Amino acid sequence: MRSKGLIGLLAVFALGSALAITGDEVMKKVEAHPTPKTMHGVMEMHLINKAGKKLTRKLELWQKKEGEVEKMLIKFLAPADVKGTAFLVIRKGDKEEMKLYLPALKRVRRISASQKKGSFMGSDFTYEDISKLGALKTEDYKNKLLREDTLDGKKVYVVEAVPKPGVDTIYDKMVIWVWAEKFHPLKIEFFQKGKKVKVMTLSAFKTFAGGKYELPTRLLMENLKTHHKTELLQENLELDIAIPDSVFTERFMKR
Amino acid sequence: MEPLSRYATRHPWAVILIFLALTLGLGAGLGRLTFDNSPESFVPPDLPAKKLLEEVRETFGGGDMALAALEGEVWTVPHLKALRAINDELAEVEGVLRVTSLANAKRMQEVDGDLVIEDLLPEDLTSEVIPSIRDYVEHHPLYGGRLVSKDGRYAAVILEVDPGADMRALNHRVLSVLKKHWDGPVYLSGTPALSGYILDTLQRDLPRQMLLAALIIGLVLYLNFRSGRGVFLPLLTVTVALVWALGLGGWLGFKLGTISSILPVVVLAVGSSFTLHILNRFYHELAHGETRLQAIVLSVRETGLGVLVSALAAGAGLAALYTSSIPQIKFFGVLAAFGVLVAFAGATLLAPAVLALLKNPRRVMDPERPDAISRAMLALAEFVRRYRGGVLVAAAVFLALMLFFATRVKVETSFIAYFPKNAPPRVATELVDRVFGGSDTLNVVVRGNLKDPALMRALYAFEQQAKALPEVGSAVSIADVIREIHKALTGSYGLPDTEEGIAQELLLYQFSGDPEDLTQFITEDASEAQVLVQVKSLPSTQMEALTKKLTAMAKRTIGPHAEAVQFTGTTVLMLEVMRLILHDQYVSLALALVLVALFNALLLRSWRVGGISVLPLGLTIAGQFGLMGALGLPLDTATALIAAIAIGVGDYSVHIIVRYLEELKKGEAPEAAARTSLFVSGRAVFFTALAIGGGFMALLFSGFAPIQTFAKLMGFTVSATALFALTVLPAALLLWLRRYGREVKNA
Repeated sequence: MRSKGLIGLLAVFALGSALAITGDEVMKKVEAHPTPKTMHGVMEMHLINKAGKKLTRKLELWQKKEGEVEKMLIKFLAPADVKGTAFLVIRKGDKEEMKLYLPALKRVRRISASQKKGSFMGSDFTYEDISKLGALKTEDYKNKLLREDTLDGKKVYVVEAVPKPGVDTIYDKMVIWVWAEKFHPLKIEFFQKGKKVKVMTLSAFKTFAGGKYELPTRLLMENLKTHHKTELLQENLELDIAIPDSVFTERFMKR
Repeated sequence: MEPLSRYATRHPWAVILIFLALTLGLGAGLGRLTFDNSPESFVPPDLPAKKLLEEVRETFGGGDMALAALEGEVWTVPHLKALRAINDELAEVEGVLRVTSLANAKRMQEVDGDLVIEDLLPEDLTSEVIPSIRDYVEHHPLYGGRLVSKDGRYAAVILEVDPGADMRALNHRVLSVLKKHWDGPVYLSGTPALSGYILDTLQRDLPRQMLLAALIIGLVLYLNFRSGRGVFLPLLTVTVALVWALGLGGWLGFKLGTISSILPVVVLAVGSSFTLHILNRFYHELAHGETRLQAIVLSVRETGLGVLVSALAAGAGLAALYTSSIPQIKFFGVLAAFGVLVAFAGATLLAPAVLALLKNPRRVMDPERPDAISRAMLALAEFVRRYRGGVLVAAAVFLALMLFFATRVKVETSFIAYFPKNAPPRVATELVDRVFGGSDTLNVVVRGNLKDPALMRALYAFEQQAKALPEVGSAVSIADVIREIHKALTGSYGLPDTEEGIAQELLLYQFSGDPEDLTQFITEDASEAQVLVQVKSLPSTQMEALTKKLTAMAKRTIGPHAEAVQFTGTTVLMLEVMRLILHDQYVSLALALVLVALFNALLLRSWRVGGISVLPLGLTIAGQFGLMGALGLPLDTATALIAAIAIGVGDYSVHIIVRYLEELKKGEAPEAAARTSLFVSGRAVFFTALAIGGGFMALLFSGFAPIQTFAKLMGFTVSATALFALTVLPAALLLWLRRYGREVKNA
């Protein structure tokens, strides 16, 4: 779930253009962007509290998808006291295996935690935000085009996406600002129990793999209840490169 | 004053219209009047402890604490599910910042070699898994005995609410959610519950007290005047004064609390005495054959000075409360002083205007006629003449005795002291104290490098020491969370011995936990942490001793490893308020006494008169504090006002002085002057005291213990001031003020 998420999240934003008239059509275009098979890069995570105090974490990330199997490895580069901490997820169909390496204990531990509503590494993103967004299935939602608008000088379609009954999600509504020219979401508002709880903005779009993919390299999520913010910045992103399986092993975690 | 009242008799409609317009204008502010009795309304905004508390709330989230205890077998599927429903629904309630209960607790445990991090209560809860959950919780320092009682009979729901929220609405909403899902008894303690209950009681009590005070005063007025207008006119002027004062409060955005709930009764009681004095003289002149208009002008001229002096003194005494550091008392002082001055204006302008319009009463009874009371006054005058020295010696002995007892007065600011023993929040607080070891929270704020293992161990050591105290229910911090993580990782409780170890174990938690689980204890950058110490609700003096003990403990244990250790929390704020109340007492008392002496001296043009005039007051105030010390009545936010209000209500001795001086000026001998003064003004003083004292008795029916104590003390105050004004004052006058004319020159 998680591994698929990160690839998918970035993949949502590839090129595409047509005249959208219904909400469903807008979201289909968004969904139609291609998904990269592998991904490697460095991610900077800024945790910004209510008072504006910022804590920076730097992680290196490897992701790979082969048929049913998805693999992800996250290694902390900074701050110094958590450097070397590694988190490995291997997902086969419904089975998920997670391992954690803490250098201070010099041991790899298998961990089992299943909370899609839980925070993603102490950030304002939940695991669901990370996973669902990448794989936002048009047919899971009732998509309604609310209006055409402009956002930061870009023409956008504002789409309201309400999950259909039976769809497993922690939000009861999203309002998505979709860039009309390229069909990338630029802003998403998340609603729980009718209340707007979080707002995400996506920016700094860049093209990768010779223009095959276009992805936002800056994601900002604001929690409207705690006024805490998380900024994710992608650096040196490499897509569709060959990543050997030896990366997703305990040995590599300890390295 | 005389020209004004003359104008009032000539153009009564103009005066009435002006009063009506102002009443409508200011009265429109009544709708804006709101209630607030949060601890914040007692705490000066610039108090350092308050700033610290605000910073702590900003840093760690959270707000005012409430704790609900739910009674019933907790370890059953239906009750745990009910707890989950409660937790979910409360989290959505407006003003609720954080909910903590078993329903959102985490379980972190090693199961078959896997480190399992999951919700404590699984989605599909069955009775089979409950024993293992129970076992886990009972051994968990953050949960066992804190979220569920040790015997499993009570579940706790800890709520943190926005201090600015509407506590009344919140209290009702929370209680209704608890009752909706939980089938057993529910108890809600903590500041929001207390404040909510206080506001409910206020809104119920306020109209009742006003009505009752008006009834009692009306009855006394009727006994005095035996006429409808004798009742109607004083009540009209004080109603106008009340509308102006409360309306002004509304326009200025003041908020009413327990203290300000005394305001209406103060204005009613004190204000009605002004019109009473003027009417007394009016009926007297009328009975002596003066025309109506002439009688009005005469009554204002003759008694106006006395009424003015007592109005100014009352205003000064009340306005002196403006020097208080406590916002609620400050507002009360301003509005009460304003109300009293309006009542004075009503007595000298509005009452004459209405009298001018009304026809002469069919029957005129002279209130200054000799009757049982005035005969008693004559006997009293004779007694004082004969034993003046003895009276003064007795007064001196009384003063010494009362000053001795006054040193024993204790200060009390604990909110819980407000409530009758069977009031739900008090019952809840006592239950929570018993079952969960405390309903009050102290925040120990620690700054430094929290990743330093030495500091982390110090936090844990402090918690253990604190928990050993009988008044402390629990003490928790990030150290407990790390110990849990460490146990799950390594199999045994402990704290990592490197900075990296601490940082990484904290990070581990973030792979699945809610960030708030950590940020309520430690900042993201690990530069600041708080230890939450849950303590029993204690009387202020014991709480202060406990806080001192804990502070010393924290300084000794944590201090050497941290940059700073500070204490805060609602309770700490209330202790600061306690210190302020004591300090304010001296300031406002001294200021008020000096002001009253000054007014009397200036208006009666004699320093000696000024000095003598505050004798009854001084004795009464000493008596108040002596009585409190002797009877063990605490000085609290309500009783802190009695001295200032005593000055407001107690200055009817000025009427005795004014008449005495008048008689001296006419060339009477001092003994005869004292006799006449007691004969004529004594009766008015008696009825004024009866009206004022009776009015305050309405507060006996208040739902709050401090207000009831206040009412009892006011009963003493009014009787004592009257008694001293009728005995000690004439005795002192006879001894020390035998000539008035020369005094003027000397002054």
